[in-house]
Amino acid sequence: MEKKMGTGRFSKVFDEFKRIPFPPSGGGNKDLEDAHASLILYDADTAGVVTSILDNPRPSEERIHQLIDLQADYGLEERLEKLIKAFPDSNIVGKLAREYMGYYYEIRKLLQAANSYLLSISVNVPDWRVIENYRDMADPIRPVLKSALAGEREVLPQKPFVEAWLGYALHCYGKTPDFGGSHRVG
Amino acid sequence: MPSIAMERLQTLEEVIASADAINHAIPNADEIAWAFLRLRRRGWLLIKDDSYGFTPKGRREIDSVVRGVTYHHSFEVLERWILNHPPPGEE
Repeated sequence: MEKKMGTGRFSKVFDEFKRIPFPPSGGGNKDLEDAHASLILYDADTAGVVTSILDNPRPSEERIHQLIDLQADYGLEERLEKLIKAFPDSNIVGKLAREYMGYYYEIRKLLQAANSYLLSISVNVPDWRVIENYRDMADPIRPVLKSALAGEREVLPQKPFVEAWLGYALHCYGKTPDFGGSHRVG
Repeated sequence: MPSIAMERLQTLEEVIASADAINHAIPNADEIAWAFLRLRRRGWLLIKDDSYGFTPKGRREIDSVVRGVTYHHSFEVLERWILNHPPPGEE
């Protein structure tokens, strides 16, 4: 279970985060420069949301949605992973990519602390660690879905319930639905 | 002001997470593909790269179906509506 924290502790976590030096640009690699630019935006957006949460004891729904949206930047993560795989840490590009990844994870730790803080003041935030587990479930589904949407694959007919289920999932995303059931229906 | 979550497209993992939250089950590949094909046939599905959401038409129509229905009953109402209104070409 995630450890909850009060305003004072969360504020301290944020102060500690602000002391971490932002990694420099460089390397002369276009992908690395793009990743650096994305990291700057991710850092600024996160700082903005965290500051706002600390300033407002009861953050607005919009602010909570922003926090949820920021929990991970998988595009940035993927680009950095590719660079890390392609360049050893003895290379300037590989070295900087690893620094960016390190900083990226510091941002994510700060966001997790923000979740914990909000939970401590009884604001319901979906636990993003759970969402991360869905990545593993999505990976084998992704190519099937793409080929089906491209008309390259036959799809077995399903019950009408399934369309309502997935349609509603698209519709109510971000509203943290809980229908109280414990097993699948349909 | 519309909420950000209403405007933002979802990644596949987010769709699965949301489906799990609604029905306490994980949809399989055929279920997602079939449902998305049907939603696209209705003109409801918006796809951008690897993210998914509703078109304005889809958002409008689904909102009209569940309007005035309590949050906990809106899924059942949508299911009934979908059963009675198959996508174009399947009537």
